[in-house]
Amino acid sequence: MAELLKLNWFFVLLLTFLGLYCLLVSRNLLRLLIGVEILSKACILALISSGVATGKINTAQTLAITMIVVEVVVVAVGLGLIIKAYGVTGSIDIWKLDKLKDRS
Amino acid sequence: MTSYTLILVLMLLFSVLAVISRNMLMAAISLAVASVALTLVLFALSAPWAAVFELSVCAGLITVLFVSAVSMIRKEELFMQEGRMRFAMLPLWLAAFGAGLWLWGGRLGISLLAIPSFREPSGVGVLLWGPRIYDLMGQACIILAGVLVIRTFFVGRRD
Repeated sequence: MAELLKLNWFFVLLLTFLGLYCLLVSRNLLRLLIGVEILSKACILALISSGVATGKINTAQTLAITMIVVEVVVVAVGLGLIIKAYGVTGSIDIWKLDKLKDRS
Repeated sequence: MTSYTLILVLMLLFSVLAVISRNMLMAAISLAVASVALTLVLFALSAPWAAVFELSVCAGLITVLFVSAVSMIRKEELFMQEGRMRFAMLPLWLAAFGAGLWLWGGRLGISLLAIPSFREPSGVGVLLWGPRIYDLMGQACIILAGVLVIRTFFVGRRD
């Protein structure tokens, strides 16, 4: 059991690194949302593997279901924001979202 | 165990592809394949309910949302120039991080946290409609808030 937990958490940490790297490096708004998605996948895997390790798989599943619902709402609202920002600025580059800066 | 590790590696590979791919449509589809791999992992960990939700929502609905957003955005914008060198370096960084983690984690003894024991009801439905009913209320509130936000974004002008 400890081997399985160790393997799962190894991949959880790798996925977390990947998601954080994507959030730090990317300028594309859609790609930033993909980074958030990867982070939440790591979160779901961590929840379920912890549930397996402690023998409380049903509680872990209910928490994972809640997590999935939150994730889909975050993605829907984020994509709505991106489409709105694209309509205003004509670009999905995060560096072009500095219109407020020019106002003085 | 070997096939289980293989599925985990596959999930990681498709997640990397979703990050480094230049084509955003490819990235969305890679993310969907990574979700399918996560579904297989959850089935292998005997968590079928979470797996079904993952497959239908993350691999299905979120991919549809991403593809529809990609189809609304001009092609030149999707292929924007953004420090490609950093993305090319990503597999190297990831491999270095993984190797360091493997070496360090081998010396680290993992001990399970002591979780207060409570009698867990058998069955997700019993648990979800019993002790965790407030989770369901929270989910309903979050979905309602999301619907209201989307409606506020795309409201028509009334003059």
